[in-house]
Amino acid sequence: MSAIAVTTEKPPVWRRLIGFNLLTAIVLGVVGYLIGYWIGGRINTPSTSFFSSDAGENDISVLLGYGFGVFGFLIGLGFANYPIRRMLGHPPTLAEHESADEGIGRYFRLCTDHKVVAMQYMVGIGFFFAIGGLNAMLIRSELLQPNTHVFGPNQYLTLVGLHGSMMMGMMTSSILGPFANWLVPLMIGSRRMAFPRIEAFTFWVLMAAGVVLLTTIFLGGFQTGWTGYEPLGAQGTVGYDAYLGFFALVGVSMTLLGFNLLATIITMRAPGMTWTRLPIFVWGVLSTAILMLLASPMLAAALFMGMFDRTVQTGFYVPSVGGSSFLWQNLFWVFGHPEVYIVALPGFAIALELLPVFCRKPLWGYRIAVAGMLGVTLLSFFVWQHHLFVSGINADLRPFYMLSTELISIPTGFIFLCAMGTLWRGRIRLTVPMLFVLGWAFNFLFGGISGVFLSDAPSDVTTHGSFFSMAHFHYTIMGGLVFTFFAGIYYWIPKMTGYKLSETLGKIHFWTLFIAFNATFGPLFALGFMGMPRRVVTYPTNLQPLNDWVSIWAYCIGLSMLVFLYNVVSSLIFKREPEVANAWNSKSPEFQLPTPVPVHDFDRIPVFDADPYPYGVEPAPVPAVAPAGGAA
Amino acid sequence: MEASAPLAPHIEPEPREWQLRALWVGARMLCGAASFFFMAFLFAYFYLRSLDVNKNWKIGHVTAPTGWGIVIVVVLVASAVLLRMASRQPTSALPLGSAALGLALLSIVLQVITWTTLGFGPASGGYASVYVGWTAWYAVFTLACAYWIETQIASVWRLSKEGVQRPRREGVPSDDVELLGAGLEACSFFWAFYVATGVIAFVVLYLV
Repeated sequence: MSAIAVTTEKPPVWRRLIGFNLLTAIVLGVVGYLIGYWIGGRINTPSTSFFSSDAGENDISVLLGYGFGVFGFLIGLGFANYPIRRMLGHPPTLAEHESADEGIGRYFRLCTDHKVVAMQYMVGIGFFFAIGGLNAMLIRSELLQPNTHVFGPNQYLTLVGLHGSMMMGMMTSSILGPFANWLVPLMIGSRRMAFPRIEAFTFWVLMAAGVVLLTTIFLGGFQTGWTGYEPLGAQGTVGYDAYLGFFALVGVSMTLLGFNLLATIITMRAPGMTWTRLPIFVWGVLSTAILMLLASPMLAAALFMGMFDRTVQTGFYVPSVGGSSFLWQNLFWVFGHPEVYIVALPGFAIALELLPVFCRKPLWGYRIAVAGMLGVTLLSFFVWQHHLFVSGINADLRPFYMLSTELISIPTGFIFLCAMGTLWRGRIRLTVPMLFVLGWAFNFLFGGISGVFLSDAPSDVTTHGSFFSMAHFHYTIMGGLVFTFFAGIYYWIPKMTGYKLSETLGKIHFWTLFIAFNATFGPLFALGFMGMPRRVVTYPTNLQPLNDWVSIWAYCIGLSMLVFLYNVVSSLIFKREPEVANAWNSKSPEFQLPTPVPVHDFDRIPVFDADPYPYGVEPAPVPAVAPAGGAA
Repeated sequence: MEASAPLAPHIEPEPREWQLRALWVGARMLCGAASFFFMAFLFAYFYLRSLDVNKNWKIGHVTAPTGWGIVIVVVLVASAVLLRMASRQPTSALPLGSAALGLALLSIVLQVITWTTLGFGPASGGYASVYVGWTAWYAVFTLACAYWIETQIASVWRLSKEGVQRPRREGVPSDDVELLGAGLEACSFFWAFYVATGVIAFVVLYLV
């Protein structure tokens, strides 16, 4: 429960620095890593070095180092205090360091205020998004020439793996982390998440995961790409341990994030917030959370098997001792394909949430959209083997997975249809968030249609592993997720921070990104058809002009991000022009609250008595304030 | 449910039943997550067994000690039954819960003993890999469950020590007791479910 704390005198700065905070966490994280590494060195013997004994590398030390390091990091943040208190029988509590009196220090420690955690996510994920983006720039620099000229093949592949892992691992939570944590309680009339400490835990574990991944640079990198395919993984150096540790931590974070969001949505809806009144954004979060809760544990298990192979000498993925690299492919994609929808569904949700606001009409086909989201959620568990069409799966299985993959375009089409239906005859306001939503619609159309080619076994055989498939998933994921992510930023950040973002700079950001994005990824379809494979550092010389074109436009994407960064820094740090409570004239519950939103969100638990999108219905119903009674 | 800082007088507290429902729902969802985690091992078992790569499903004489397996399963089932009884009999929650905790920890000890008496190593084929991986992670999760059970027992112990009892006059339990009951129910439900997955693991790893 959020609370207003009794005002107390602040301790001196030195005292605050030695408490449980990020600084202590980093120190304990490093100490933990060294202890784990040392213990690993004592355990390790030549007979237990299954893969890397020739290179004198010690997987046990590295993995134990990561484990102890993360443990120390979390202890430093204060995550062990409450569990110890509970072991001693102290009654459960829900809030920790929520008081606004704690100032900016709340953002650098364990804090259970959902709005603080959301902002932590926003900054943390933004940092890793920038690193992932820079990796992409470096990849494109290498591809300016047909032969290696900047990096060697191994470094190039590590860059590709870092970029993919960073984007698919860290960015998975890019909408649920900042936006769902901030918005879901406000949208359903709650003051907090169901399990606030778990909410904070998911963020800090994700940050630890990002750091673990970056350490691969010092350990020889990994040449497997983000999919970590065996037997490349088994052949990798200890840099591959960083990949395993990273994704395992991401899996833990995602599972608990989904768990917490689901529990919140199911159990903490205010009176009147029935399932049919749930904002479509919350439906999108709910669908994504189901996928996170169920798919991520499979990934974690697959990664733990890989860790066991490299430490205690099991042979899950080692054919010489009864294992199979195809086991990894299967387990990875049982998670991996739902993962694609974990990334895409929140984007759909933001688009559908924003369209009614900027079209000034109710969401068209609300129930169809909900059915579409749940349909995607269900079907996404039955399509994973289309990633293995060219990996030697039983040919009799192909038709089923081809059908199931094509089937998923139906619920996806429902969602797209609802977006178009809402646009139809709407009084469209071309604000910056709306531009990004329209950009999403354009990009995702191409992403979706090109996906049909990859779902068909006959055409997939020729396009699999080529730049065509890379263009496809960048259109769906970057065109889908990143555009809606920015739509969400321009729409909600003024509400979250209380300060305006520049509209002019926002429009420059959109148009440069939109043009550069399409100029970058559109030609990749052609490159794929011309036979350019993914993850290969060299290519035929006749493909250089197109590759150079793509690289130059990729740099333009980077420039557009600099415009965005400048907008954020100048608007939120220097200008600080206060935003009104409801700048978009939205009827969503969060915009009925004052800006900035108080620590306790609502003075009284609201009662909802209207559908979520009553645009065009005047006077506009707003959530009434009445005594709580229980969710309907 | 107490917040760490008092609410200002004009702020209405949230409905009490929200936290109780969250515990109930949370335990069920954890069952789903745990199922999918161990489903990966189940998949690995049947996948590697059906492939039998290079005839290496079992290299040499690889047989799990069924006797130890039976003992572990019996101990786990007894623990789950006792904890479930504890959640339904508040007056006996402390002894029943303590016994359940003891048995849960005993199952881990027995598993460790079993590993030391195996006639094969982790690299003795696909089966050996699955056996070691599955049982190891089962033991790790059992330890986490034991922690959860311990927190419930510690809460019961502290409440009984401080003399908090169910108020008989209204027939309605106090907040603390109600919350403790919900926590114990959630814990015992998950533990029972988890033990059931252990029984499945036993059937697959020892009997099939």
